[in-house]
Amino acid sequence: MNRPVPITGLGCISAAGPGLEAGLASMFRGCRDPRPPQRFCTGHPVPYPVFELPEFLGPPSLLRTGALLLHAAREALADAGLDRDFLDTLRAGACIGTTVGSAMNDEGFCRALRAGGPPSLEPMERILRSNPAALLARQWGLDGPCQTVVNACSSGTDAVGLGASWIEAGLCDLVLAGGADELSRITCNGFISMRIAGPGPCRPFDRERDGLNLGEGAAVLVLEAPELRRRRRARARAFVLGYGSACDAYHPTAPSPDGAGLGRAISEAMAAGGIAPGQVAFVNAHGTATPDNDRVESGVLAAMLPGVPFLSTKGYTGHTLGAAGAIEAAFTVACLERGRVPACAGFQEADPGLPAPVAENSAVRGAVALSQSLAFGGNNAVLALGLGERP
Amino acid sequence: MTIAIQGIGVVGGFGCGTADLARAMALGAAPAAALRADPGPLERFVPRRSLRRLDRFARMAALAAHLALEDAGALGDDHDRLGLVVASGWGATGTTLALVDSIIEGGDVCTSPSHFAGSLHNAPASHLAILLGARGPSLSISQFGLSAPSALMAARLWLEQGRAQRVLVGAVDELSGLTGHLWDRQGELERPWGPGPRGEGAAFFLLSSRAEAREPYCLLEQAITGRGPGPEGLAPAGTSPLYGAMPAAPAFDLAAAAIRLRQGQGPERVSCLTRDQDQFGLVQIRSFRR
Repeated sequence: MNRPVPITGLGCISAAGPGLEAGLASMFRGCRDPRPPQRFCTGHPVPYPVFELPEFLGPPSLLRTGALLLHAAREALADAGLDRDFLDTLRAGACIGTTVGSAMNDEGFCRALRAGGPPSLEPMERILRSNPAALLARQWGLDGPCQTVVNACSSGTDAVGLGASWIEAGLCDLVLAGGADELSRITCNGFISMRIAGPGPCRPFDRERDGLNLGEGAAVLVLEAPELRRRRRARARAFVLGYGSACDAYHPTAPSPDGAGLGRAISEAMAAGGIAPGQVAFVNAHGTATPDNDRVESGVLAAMLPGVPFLSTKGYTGHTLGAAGAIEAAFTVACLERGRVPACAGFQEADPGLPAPVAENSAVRGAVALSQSLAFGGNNAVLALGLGERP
Repeated sequence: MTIAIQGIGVVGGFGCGTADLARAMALGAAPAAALRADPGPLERFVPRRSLRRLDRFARMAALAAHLALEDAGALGDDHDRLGLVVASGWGATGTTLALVDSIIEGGDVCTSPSHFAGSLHNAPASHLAILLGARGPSLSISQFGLSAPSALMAARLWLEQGRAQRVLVGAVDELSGLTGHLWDRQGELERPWGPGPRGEGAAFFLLSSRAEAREPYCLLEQAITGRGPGPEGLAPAGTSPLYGAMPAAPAFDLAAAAIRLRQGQGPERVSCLTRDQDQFGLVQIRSFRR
C-alpha cells in the first residue's frame, strides 16, 4: 500500500466465541471443542468433528452465512463507532469472501428437482437474497462498490486486501471487508470425499496431523480512508500495510510442492508495506492440518521468515473456508494489540525437518504480523497488518 | 494509467469468436428459444487429455479466454505476470447438480470428489491458470447481474496498481438443469432475469496498459458498481437476443460495444449500464483513436 489503510473496527464470530474478545479469551484459555455436526447428519462411518455454532440462529429468510455476516458486521460497526445515519453520508463499499454463501447447492431443492418437482423456489430465493456483499450493502445502505469474492479458502483474505485497495485507489471512504461461511452438509461431504477431513480434532503442523476440521463463522473489518478517520478522530486499531496474492498454476486442489505462489504472495505483501523480515512479529498461518498444506506452508516460512513465530488458529475455530482469512486477520490484529499469541492448538510434535509453530501462549515482539491463506485453485493470499494506536 | 482492451474472446449461442458475434450483430436477433454455447473448439488450443478435469462451465470460460489471447496475438506470450478475474452469476450449476446427485444416488460416502472440486466458483480460474501458466493474482467474483462490471473494476485496479502486467477478465454462465428450471419459473422469482431467450456462454477480455496494447479495440475508461439506478440519462445496455439472457450478459454487451467501436460505428464513447435490483454497474469505453 502506498499509504497504510486504517482498520477502525473489528467483528468476529466463530466457534471460539460469539465476539472477537470472547473468541480471543477462549483461545488463550486453550478451549476447543470440535464435535460431530449437530444441525445435520452425515452417513459416514466416522463422525468427522466440526467447529459449529449450534446455538446461533438466523432468520429463515436468509442463509445462515448471511446471518453470521450480519452478526460480525454489527460488532465491527459498533467497535468503529459507526451507525447507518453516518454511513449514509459516505461512499461506503462491501467486499466479502464466501464459498457456501454463493453456492446454488440447496440439497432439498435439488432433491425435489430430481424427483420431478416443481420444488419451492424459496431456497433459491434465500441464496440470491443472501449474496454476502449485497446483503451488507442493503442492510446498511452502502452505495459504493459491492463485491462477493469466491476464491475458495483464501476468499476472506482476498476480500480484506481488495477492500484496502479500493480505499487506496480512492473508490471509497470506507469498506466493510471480511468473510462469512456456514457449515453445510454438502461441503462437509465434499471435504470428506477428498480425504482431507480429519477423523479427530485437528493438529496443525503436528507430525501426526491427519486432516482438517470444518468450522463456521464470519468476521468483518472496517477499513477507512485516512482522511475520514482523521475527520472523525477514530482510533486505528491496526493498519493494512500490504496485500499480496499469486496463483500456483499447479493443481486444482493441491498446493504447489515448492510453495512458489505462497512465497510470491508473501514477498508482494511485504514489499507493498515496505516490511523487512526482521520486523515481522508473527505469522498467523493457514495451517489447516492437512499433510500437504502444512508441509508446504511451514517450508516456505522456514525459508523466507526463519525464526519468526507462527501459528494456526484453526485448532480453535476449525477451517471456516471463505470466512477463515477474515477471522484470522481479526485475531491477528487482536494478538498484535496484546503482544501475545495463543498456542497453536492441537500441535504436539514437530514434523522432522520442518519448523515448529508456537506451542504455548507466548509474548511476541514487533508491530507487524502476516495473516495468510492458501486455497483450492492454487490461490495464495497474504495480508501484512500493522499495529495501530493505543486506546 | 490508460487501460486498453487488447483482445476479446466470446462463445455463445451465436457461435465462437468475435467474427461470429459481429455477424450475429449484423443479422439481428437470433431466433432460437435457447442459445447454447459449444465449447468444442477449445480443443484447438488445448489437447483433449488436458481437459479431462474441466466441466462444460470451465470449458466455456477457457475457450473464451484463449480466444481473447489469440485475438490479441498474445497466445504464445509468457503469462507469468498475467492476472485472472473470472465472474459468474450462477457458478457451475451443472456440476453442482451432479455433485448433489452423487450424494442422492449413492449416499454421503459416494460424494464425488471431482464434482465437489468442479462445483467451486473458482474452478474455471484455477484451470485457466494451470493451462496458461498464469501466476499473477487470481480472483473469482459472484455478484449475479453485476458480476461482469465488478470483475472489470477489479481488473482495472490491478493494472493501475501494478499488481499485474496484463489481466484476462471475463464472465461465464451456464444453462443447466437448475438454471433452466429457474428460467422456466422466473415469473415466480423476486429477481427479474432480463429480456431475451435463455442463454449461456463466456465473454473474456485481455486488458493491458495502452502503452503495451498493440491494436486495441478501445480504451476502458471506467468500470464501477454502486447503489441506485446509475447515472441519469443512461438506459441499460442489452443486445441479449444475440446471446441470451444470463447474469454474464453485461460482458457480452461490452464485447458488442467494443466491436462496434473498432468498426467505427456509433459514438466515440459508449456507456454500458447494468441494473440489478437496487444496484448498478457502469462500464465506459471510448475509441482509442481520439
